[in-house]
Amino acid sequence: MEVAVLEAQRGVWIEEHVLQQARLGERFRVVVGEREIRLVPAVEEISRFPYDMSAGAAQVALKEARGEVLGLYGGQPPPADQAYFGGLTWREYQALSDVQRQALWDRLYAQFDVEIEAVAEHDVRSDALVAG
Amino acid sequence: MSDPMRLLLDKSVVRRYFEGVAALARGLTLTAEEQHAVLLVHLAHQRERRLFLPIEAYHLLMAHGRQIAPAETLMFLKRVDILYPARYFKRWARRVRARTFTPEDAKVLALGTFGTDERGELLGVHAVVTHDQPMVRKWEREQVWFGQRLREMARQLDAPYASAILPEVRSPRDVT
Repeated sequence: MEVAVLEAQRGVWIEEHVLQQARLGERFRVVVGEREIRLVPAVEEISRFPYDMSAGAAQVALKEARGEVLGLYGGQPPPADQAYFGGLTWREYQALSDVQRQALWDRLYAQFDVEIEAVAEHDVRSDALVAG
Repeated sequence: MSDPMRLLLDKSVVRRYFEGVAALARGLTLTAEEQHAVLLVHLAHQRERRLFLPIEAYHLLMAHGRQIAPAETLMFLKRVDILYPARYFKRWARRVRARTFTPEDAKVLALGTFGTDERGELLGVHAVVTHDQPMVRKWEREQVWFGQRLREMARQLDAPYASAILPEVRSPRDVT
């Protein structure tokens, strides 16, 4: 697969879907080394985490989550060309922009959405715990 | 009976959770929103939070996630319960909708007030959690109006509906 066009003295053109697939994010850095040029994600400063946890605790928890998902997949993630979500493979899904992903989820969600008037209401016990 | 903080996740959080866990499995860097969603869900039990999702999102996952992203679906559903519309949900959802929230947002917000678990043992959640910042801001702006309307409505209802409250609407990173 051709992922970049190199033109001497005219720059490098990389297709948007390739950048999406690489998950570089909105901003990335170009690092020039000897005999190589690398694109790396700009460090995304995350100032706040859920539960007021520290960045260190967040990394530990993410590592745990990675261990759990890899354990469920038998140590290897599914192949990138296997069906993933909404009729797309992981590779195809990764190539979508955030707006396209949202549109896909909206479309699939709409299949299960019902009008307010058609919603079935459930009874609640008189001693139910009320949020507050 | 203890009453942990109850959080209702909207579709935007569910999506980032799935994308984040799939990225973790492949050793990729997670965006901030993906990290927030994964951490929120992964640590909920440990932090004594109870998570819920709307029935529509559950059906979506069962139809599209269970077979092809089974690990992500399993990890998610073992940490999250379904919140069902309770009595008066429709009446309240119509009022929320009338303040120009989308039908989907109106339903999620109304579920936050008139939603219950499978056994009808609870009413409402403490917060709706979303990555949709315009929704967070709009809900903040409308708090006074909704507070008055809910008090007027609840005055005429029996227990426990008479004690129903408005949920907060927060971004995952702001859940404490």
